Amino acid sequence: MPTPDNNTFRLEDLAEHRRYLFRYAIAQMRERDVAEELVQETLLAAVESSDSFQGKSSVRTWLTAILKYKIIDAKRRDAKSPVVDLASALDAEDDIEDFDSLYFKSDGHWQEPPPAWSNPAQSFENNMFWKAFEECLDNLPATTARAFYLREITGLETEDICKELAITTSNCWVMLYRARMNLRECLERRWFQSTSHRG
Amino acid sequence: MLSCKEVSHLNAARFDRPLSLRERFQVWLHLKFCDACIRVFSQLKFMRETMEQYRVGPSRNEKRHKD
Repeated sequence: MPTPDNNTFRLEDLAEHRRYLFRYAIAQMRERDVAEELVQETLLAAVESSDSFQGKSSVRTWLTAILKYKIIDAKRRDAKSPVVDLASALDAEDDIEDFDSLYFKSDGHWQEPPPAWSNPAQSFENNMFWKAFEECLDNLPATTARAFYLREITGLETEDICKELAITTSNCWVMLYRARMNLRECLERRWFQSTSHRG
Repeated sequence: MLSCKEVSHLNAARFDRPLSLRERFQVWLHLKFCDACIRVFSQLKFMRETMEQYRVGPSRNEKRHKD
C-alpha cells in the first residue's frame, strides 16, 4: 500500500497511469481528443483532491473512479449531438478468413504451433513486460481495441459492447477473437520469444 | 473432429460467452490430442489475468517521486 511521503500527488507521479486511463476513456468516448481531455481533467482533479486518496484501493482504481464521473458528465453533455454511424470505422471489414490465414493453414492446422511461454506470471514484476504489453495494445486496430477494452477493462457483457459500438453480435465476437489472437501473438513475439529482457 | 482454427475460435469465445455443451465437448475432445491448442488456451487465460493486473495498476510505492 502506498504511503504518502507528502500529502499530495504531483502530476508526474500519476503519469504512469495515463495510458491506462486513456484506454478506459477511448473505449467509451471513441474520439481521441475527447478521451485525452478527460484523462487530463482526471489527473488534474486527482492532484487537487489528493487527500481523498485513502490508500484502500490502488492509485489506478482511485483514478479510474474519478474518470468514470468525467465520462458520465461528458456523455450527458454529448447526449444531444447525433450518434455517429460507426460502420465506417469498423475494423472487421477485411474477411475473417484472411485474418485466420495469418495463423492457420487452409486445412485448419497451425502455420506454426505456438510455443510454450516460460514463467508467464513472473512477468508481472517486470516493468519491461508492461511496456511491451502497452505497445501490443497500441497496435490493435482502433475499433477492435475499443471492443476489447469494453470487455476487459470496463467489464461489459458482449451484448452491451455491441450496443455501445453499434455492431452486430457476430461482429463483436469476431473483434474480440481478433483482439485476443493479435495480443497473444504480439506478446509472444515481443516478450516471450525475445531474450533481450532476460539478463 | 474440429480443426485447430475452429478450436481457437471457441477457446477465445470462452472468455466472452458460455459455450454450448456440444461446443465444450468438441473442444475437450480436440484438447485431448493437441498440445498446441492447450498452450494457446492457457496463454489466453494468462492474458485475462494480465488485464486484471493492468486494471489494478502497479502495486509498488506509487507516491514515490523521481529519484
